[in-house]
Amino acid sequence: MTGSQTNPPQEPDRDTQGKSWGKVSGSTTVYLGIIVLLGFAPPFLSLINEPFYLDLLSRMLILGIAALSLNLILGYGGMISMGHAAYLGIGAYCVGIPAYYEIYNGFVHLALAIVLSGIFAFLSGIISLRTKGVYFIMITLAFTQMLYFTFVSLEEYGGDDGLVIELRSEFPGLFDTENNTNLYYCIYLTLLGSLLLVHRLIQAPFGRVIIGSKHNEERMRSLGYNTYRYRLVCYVISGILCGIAGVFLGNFTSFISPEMMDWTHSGELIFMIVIGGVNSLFGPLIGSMLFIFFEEWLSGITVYWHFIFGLMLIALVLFGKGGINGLITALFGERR
Amino acid sequence: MNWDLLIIQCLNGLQLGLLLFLLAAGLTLIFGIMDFINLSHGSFYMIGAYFCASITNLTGSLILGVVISLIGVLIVGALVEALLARRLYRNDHLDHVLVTLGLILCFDTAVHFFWGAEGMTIPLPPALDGQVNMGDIVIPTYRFVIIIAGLLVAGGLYLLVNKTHLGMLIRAGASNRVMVTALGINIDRLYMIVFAIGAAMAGFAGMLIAPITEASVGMGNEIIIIAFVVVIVGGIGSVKGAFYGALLIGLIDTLGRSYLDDFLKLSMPANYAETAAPALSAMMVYILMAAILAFRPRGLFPPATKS
Amino acid sequence: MTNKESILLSTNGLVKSFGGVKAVNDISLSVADNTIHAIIGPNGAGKTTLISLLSGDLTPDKGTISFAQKDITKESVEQRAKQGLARSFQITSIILPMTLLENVMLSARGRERHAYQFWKPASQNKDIEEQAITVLQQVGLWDQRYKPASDISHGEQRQLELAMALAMQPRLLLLDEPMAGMGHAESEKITGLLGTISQDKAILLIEHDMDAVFQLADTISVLVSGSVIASDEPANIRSDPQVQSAYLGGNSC
Repeated sequence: MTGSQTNPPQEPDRDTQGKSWGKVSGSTTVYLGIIVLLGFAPPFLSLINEPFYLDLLSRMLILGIAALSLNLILGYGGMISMGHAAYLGIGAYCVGIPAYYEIYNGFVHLALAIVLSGIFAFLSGIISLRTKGVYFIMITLAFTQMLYFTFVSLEEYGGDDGLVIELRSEFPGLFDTENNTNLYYCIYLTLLGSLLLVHRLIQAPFGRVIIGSKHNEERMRSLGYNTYRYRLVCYVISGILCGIAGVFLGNFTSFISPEMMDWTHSGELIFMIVIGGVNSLFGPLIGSMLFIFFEEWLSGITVYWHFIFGLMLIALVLFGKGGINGLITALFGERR
Repeated sequence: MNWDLLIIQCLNGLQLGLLLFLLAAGLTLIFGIMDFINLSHGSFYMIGAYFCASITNLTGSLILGVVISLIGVLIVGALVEALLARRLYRNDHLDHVLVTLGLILCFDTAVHFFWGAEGMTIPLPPALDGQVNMGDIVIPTYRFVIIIAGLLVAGGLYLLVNKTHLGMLIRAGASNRVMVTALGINIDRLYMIVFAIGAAMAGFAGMLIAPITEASVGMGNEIIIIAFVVVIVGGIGSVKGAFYGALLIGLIDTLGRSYLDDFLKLSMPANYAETAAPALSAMMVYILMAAILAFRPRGLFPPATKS
Repeated sequence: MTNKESILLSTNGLVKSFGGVKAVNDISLSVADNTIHAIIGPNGAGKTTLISLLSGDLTPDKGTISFAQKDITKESVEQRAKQGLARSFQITSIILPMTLLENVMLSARGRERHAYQFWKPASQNKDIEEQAITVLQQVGLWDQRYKPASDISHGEQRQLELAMALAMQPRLLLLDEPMAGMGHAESEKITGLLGTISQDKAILLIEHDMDAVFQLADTISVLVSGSVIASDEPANIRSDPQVQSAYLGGNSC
């Protein structure tokens, strides 16, 4: 009965505090600026007559979506999946196999990709999420490898050699994806939607539980959260989002093969996230853009560019903590 | 049932299992003791094969090739530990994944640079190049060489881990890292030895397989994943688990590939069976892993640890 | 304690061993509604193990636990939490990168059926926020509510630890040394708070601060080497010769 309800709930400094919710910080402004510029890229590139760069940007954005989806579980959820390329493959084959049977309807492709990515994520998640740490990394990797070999063994769909996709997904009455600019905007809008989705997810109660479970699972369980199930749901959402990116990748490359699911590609997605900065909404996009830029640039210099690339990746871990997001935040202001 | 074929396939499975064991034993020790994920462990496999191919071709002696290459891979392993891995033990697993992935790129490119994109073969001495006739069965002599060499290394590792002072430290390290540190052991040196031995075993596996398949760039990147599966199935840190896990997976993979279609034909039309079997047999190892983990999330022989 | 019907939690013959050592050996005890049952004993007596068994973080080798007339021995941590069993940890277990308010709001929401809400920001749930703010006021952390949990002092983190348990609005609080690491003034404040809370909640309290224990507890059980050697009202415990020699006499601070 000693005085416990004392503090009058009026005074303190809401404005210094409120910024974690309301105001847009300096670094976010930079990121939003980049997003807006990306929206103006196609007319600009056609103006300077450099259509090749549109291809490059398309690839950056597609892998940006994939990296963003991986960051949902890896950055926010602490689940280090080494098998996310599986969903790129699933999405791409959801374009390729129907196209093989001359089904070109894009809605069918998307629906298939969503359903099948979701099922694969759900089934593999049920088992992998029971494990932790090294086991989780390895088991996600192994599941993807399983899918890889499955597609290698499917002779009907080209096996190891893959499939050529004759026509891109069709969205009758909406737009013509054979036009590269249309495809670009299609990807761009999906990217915007994905960014918004992930932003809302992590601010919503669901995301708070996911973040809380990353930092202190024991406590989250003792608060009454079944962390396993929340993670599973998060894992499925992430898989589906990456599956959608896969649909674009299939359309973009017009050629699909099991190689898309190779585990080194899963590793590359992780790298994109780390380059951009784990725990940041825009980091994965920036990371994928830089990753592809360096890939393109270095491979033009020497055939042995992978060596330089490998050294860069090692150096990034040893010396470059926080990624580009750390740099931008340092330059343009806090983002908490 | 063709018993001769079954025996041949079992020997093939045994061979694959022992190669996997050579890779997995090092991985599981490095996992278990240093808590370090080395995705580039397969690079040692590749380097071993290339060293051995070069030296054998240079000297004309396979034995000399193997011995010198083993020392070479030991040194490469120790260097990787001292220059890179050591800095990362305290970091989280994500960093391990990233750095060792970068290392794979470096190793693959370096091998490409020094040895070219073409593969390299290792000629076998005539004594090993023959065949053994056992009744109706004809088996290449070299297959027995691989199996015997694999078993010898496994036996040697067993003695090392169970009968020597170093082995005691290794076992203690796999189940309780803090304790080893508390004992006042030179932990850095222990780590380096374990890492180098692991690398050498992987390199040895590469040397054994190269006369059959040839040494090629990136040859370790596929088999290493199955070695990871072995480690997980066996239980991280357990050499015994790696051994049984490797044999189990080697046999299941080999037998699955040759018998699954016959097996499926018992329950479905032949044409379906022939379509489904390759896909299913490719998945079998992973299905097995999933099944084991579903019931034993820490593998078959998890080292006794107290959390 | 006399009213049998008001017993909220009871254990029967709980046993838990680690590698042959019985950390908890045949413990049977009960906690009644609106009372504080304190467990005291030397370090290593098995107090934290007991709490972990009750909260579900550990499963007993033998024995049963019942909560609100229901056997919960086999239920998971989160199932028990949903039924109104909240625990605080001896080693502060908070979510460091989140603000105090976010931490406590997570607690307040944990009791709800689920948090599968994907779109509306968590911070905009006024109902939960009010509950969280009330609790933060109770423990005296209200004016720091927008600081990340990593930025407050150790003593304040202990208060947050308690706040997270309180915010679940549980029927039974399992408190593992809530006052450890707090300053004298804070301890007194929390002692007062626990007294208030126990008017409509049951509390199982592990605490080394004997002043607080004897001031608050309705029942005290003394735990030595995994077994309860005495369980009685504070006054009787204080004068129990067995307890004197085993615990209180030796090195009371």
